[in-house]
Amino acid sequence: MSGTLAALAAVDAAWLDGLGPDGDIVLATRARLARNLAGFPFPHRAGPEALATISVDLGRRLRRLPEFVDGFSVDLAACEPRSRQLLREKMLAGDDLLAVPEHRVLVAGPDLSYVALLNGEDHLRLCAWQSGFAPDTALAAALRLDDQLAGAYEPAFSQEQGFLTASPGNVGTGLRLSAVLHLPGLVMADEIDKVLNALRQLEFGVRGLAGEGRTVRGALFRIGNLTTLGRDEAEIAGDFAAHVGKVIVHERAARELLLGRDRRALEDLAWRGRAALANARLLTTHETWDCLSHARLGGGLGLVPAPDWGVFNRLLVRHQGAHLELAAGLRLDGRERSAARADLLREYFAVP
Amino acid sequence: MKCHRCGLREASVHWLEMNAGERRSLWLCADCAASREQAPAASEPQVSFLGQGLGSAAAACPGCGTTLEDLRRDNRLGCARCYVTFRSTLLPLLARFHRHISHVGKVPGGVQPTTRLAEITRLRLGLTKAVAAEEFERAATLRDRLRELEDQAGPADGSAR
Repeated sequence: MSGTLAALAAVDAAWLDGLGPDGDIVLATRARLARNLAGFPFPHRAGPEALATISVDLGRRLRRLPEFVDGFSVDLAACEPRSRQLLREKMLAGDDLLAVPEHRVLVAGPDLSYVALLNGEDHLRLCAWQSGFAPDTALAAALRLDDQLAGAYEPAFSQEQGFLTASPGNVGTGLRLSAVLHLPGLVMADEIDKVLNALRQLEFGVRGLAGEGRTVRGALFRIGNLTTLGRDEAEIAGDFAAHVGKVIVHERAARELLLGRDRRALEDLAWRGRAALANARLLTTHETWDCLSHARLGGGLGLVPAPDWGVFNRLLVRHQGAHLELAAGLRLDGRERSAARADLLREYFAVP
Repeated sequence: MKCHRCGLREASVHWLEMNAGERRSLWLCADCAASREQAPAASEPQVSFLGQGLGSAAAACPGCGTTLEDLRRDNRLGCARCYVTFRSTLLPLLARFHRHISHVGKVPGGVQPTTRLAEITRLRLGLTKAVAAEEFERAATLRDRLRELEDQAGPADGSAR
């Protein structure tokens, strides 16, 4: 212990290997538990001494757990914004954690399967990631991690409302299960809104993984449960598995439908995507999200030769700006990034 | 009285719920009572949870000083005690958002923590209580002990950059 941010940045998360259940559609599943310490105000109301006490003591305790041994510990306040951007590209941290980084520490296991965030919105957030669609395994891993911290601190807990969190939207179990899905079939068949609205009715949150505002790039969606109170962890995971499982079924059906409707158009899309990845000398980030999406879809339907899902997953992370700059070892302007991106993708897609 | 679920219409139905052997009561409007099964149009959880349906009482939480005004602005509670302080405001919001108001699921293990963190927790809780009870001598003792403990933290043991 403990690796630096530069070392962490070079690591591809194990859960991007594409080998998990339904790995063609679901990149990964995450279980997150929100916890707070009794007696301490929640982070946004706590003074620097309280935050420092928590990040030092709990950080030390976390780093000794088997899940985190030989892993990474990153003080977010000591990172420059570009480095924090790396964590976002790796899907390890959201904007909320990156905004006010004082006394915020991210602890991660060596293969990034376990991640703990200290002094984000809550004092402690424990995350367990799994490859593919695996809500039960992810949940079990997160709960095991939580168990190991029993005796390390007195949790903020009430018999009535369960684990108490800064946002009442997380109170109770503190459990948020989420999965990252690639849904190009539903997008192209124009059924995505119907499916997403149904999910929202069932109290799931849905947002695009990439893209600004309301645009979604690369047909990548992150779906997670919204309600955390009144159902136990297993029930939340059961509902998640059932409803998100249906989305996977719908996606497969949509792909078959598109194939039946106009196979040639789909082939064309997939080959064009693949051709750009294999040959382009300049690729913008928007183009790349789309090309990777089309090539992946074509690969899944056997329309074009494609690398395995793990390669796609890792490239989705690595083609982004902070990762390109890290690989190059210097700051890049927009055009240089496009060039570096095209070079990176050609490595994997060009036919020798 | 406004409906506890929508906070908009006049409540006309007294809704009783049995949960974990405890009886809870809610006042609902006719529409909400009829569509109790129907999911609210929830999308982004953080956005408007506390922004609506809050009263305007001026009470501040004795645990952290958070006021209803703060809740409305931050969409967040300030400390665990806020759940008690703002209970009557929160329950209808929890009922509306989660459709439940009582926790079911994991409870903390029976292990009594003996770490410095747990000791600080006990002192902090004791301090809040002592101040509330105006036992200032006791509060001063606790505060001294708390400072002592927090000073022991020393530098972080290698939070790498």
